Amino acid sequence: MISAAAITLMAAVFVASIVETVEALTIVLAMGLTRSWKSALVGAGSALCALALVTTVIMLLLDQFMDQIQTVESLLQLVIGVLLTIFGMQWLRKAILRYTGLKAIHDEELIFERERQAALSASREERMGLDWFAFVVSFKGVFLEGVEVVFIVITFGLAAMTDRVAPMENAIFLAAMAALIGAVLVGIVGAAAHKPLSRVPENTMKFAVGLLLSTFGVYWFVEGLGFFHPESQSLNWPTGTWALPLIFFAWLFVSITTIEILKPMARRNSTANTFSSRP
Amino acid sequence: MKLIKGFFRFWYDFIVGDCWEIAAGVAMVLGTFAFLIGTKLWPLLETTATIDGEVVTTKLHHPSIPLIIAGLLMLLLVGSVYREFRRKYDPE
Repeated sequence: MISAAAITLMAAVFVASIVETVEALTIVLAMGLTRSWKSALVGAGSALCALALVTTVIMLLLDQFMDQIQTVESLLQLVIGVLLTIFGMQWLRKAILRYTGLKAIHDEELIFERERQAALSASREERMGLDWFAFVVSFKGVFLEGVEVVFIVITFGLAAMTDRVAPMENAIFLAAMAALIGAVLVGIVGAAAHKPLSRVPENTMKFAVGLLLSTFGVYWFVEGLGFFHPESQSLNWPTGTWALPLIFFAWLFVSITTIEILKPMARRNSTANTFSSRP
Repeated sequence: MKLIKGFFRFWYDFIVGDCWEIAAGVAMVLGTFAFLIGTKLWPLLETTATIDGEVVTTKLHHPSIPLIIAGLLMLLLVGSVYREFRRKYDPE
């Protein structure tokens, strides 16, 4: 039977994978439709191979040192907690800024058009039978978006594997599967639609992922602080794992309150600026 | 040298991104509580489980440290968003 923690882990990774794959797809589509499908797909495929290689190397290293890592559990929790907290808060911050109108909503069609214009104006250079510009842009786009997913898969999976209360031995495998399913799903829909997936509620999904990353990040951050104690034991939350839903709802409450307060203020300021700039 | 710089630049952009305040704030919270816990200026409570007089497990806990840290990080997020608001509508 799959636990609630496993479902949460897989859901977070699945949604993050969809968001990142949509962004990567926009870039590959722009290159494919404007320059060369062969070069764009080879670039994307090469990036996926590079990501698989990076992930495999990391997993082999972790496997090699897992016993040593697990003896200093609190240090692992601290490192993962700090990274996830910073990463999650960045996602959450951007999602809040978009909801309040302080940052433009991520518009896939606009990005597609921008990439398309850049592709049209770039010079034609061929290397190894490939349109080099299309290859490099596709490779970079897929690799950079993919690195974020790999990061989430490994940090979430590792922390879930070493959790004291309910360790999940196959956490990284589950997380990787969830990421792969998300990516394949978007790939299929994108291939069928043959255009940027602008109707995907990206900001809502980024907000949800930001909430989950920040929740688990804070949880492990606090647990990991026990590393600095002479005993180097994990620091326990007062309510144990029940702290997780409480932290989640606290982040949700704080985020929604911030949005509700700043959104009308931003709208008023925006309107005032419009009127003051008129002759 | 360029490769090394590029490697660190990549990880800086990846983790810190365009908002260094969040990373700096988290680092400050981490540093402060690491110091307080490490020097026992803010002592943690220890609960030990024993079997036949032998300590089996020790649990560290504190009623308020987790709540204070979570609260500080949430304030950091709100502060960062508000700073962005001020930057946009009150640049002076």
